[in-house]
Amino acid sequence: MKFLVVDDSATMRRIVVNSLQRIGFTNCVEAADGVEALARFDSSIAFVITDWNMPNMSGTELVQALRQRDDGRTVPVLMVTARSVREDIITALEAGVNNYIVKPFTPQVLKEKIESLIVAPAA
Amino acid sequence: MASERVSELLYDTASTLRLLDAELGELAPRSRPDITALATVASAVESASGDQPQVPEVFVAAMREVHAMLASIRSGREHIRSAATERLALTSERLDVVSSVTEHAARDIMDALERAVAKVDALESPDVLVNRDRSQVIRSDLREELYTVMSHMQFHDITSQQIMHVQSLLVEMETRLTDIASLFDRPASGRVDAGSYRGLPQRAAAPSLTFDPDATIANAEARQALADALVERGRGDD
Repeated sequence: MKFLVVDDSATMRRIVVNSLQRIGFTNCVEAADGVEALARFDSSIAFVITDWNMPNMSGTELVQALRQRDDGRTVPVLMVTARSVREDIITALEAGVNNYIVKPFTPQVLKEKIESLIVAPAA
Repeated sequence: MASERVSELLYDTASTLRLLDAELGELAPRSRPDITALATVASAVESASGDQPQVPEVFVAAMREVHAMLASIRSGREHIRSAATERLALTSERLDVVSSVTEHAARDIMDALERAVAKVDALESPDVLVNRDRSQVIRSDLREELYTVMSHMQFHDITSQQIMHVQSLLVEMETRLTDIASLFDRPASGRVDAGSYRGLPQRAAAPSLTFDPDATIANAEARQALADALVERGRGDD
């Protein structure tokens, strides 16, 4: 299963990728913003984890763009962001985000949210 | 009156009025009404110009110019006061938060590293060296501690956003001060051009933020619970 991890912070991308590897998902592609993510996205990507605040294209804009594409209409999108006010969360969900994680998160929370959207691989 | 003499006189008048206005502003910056004695003079000269054709039009225009400039300076003074009392205070507050978050994260990382070192020590103890099951449990715990350290490194992302917020506040202050300074970029002598004043420069539209001004490391569980509740409610609506 291939993941697309989108965050303008290289540290955060490493943390997310390491957490995914720990869960058992070792196939990850990284992007530093929405524009790069759209360029890297294709039908082989089965799951998108994205930050909200990024240069060039935000996470919500990325989700909206993905939902316009045939190959991105149903891909699970998990937003991982520091934004946590009610209005922001609702905005993200309305944009097409499937689940939402508030930074800083624990690996356990990441695991739970991913499993809520897909069937976890055998350990 | 020769035009050179008029220009000279007007420039001296404007300079004097400017100094006078500044002094008045320093004496009573809060109680002083917006329409000043200077504005009254300008108005009087303007109305007199209709009855007394000998009052040069350029003098009326100059008085308007001086008045507009002083109004801008007063406005600029308010911007400076606003920047000093609000923005600088907020900037200081945000830097305190950054310092607190950094200290909190460093303490958590140190705690996790100390636990990890203790587990390494335990792995080297004679009774564990001969107990394979016990050794495996400790290695698993050690791995957990190292992942905990990795997770705590998220503080870098949070503090980066807080610092970017501080940076944006400082840039905003710089822009305001530059705007105010531009008011003084005027000819120091020569003919006063009443039509040259264009007011404060227009600011470019703010770009979309690449940070969350409210990013914090505090109350993560409560904030996650709110997100979970809203996600659940969204699913219920579907």
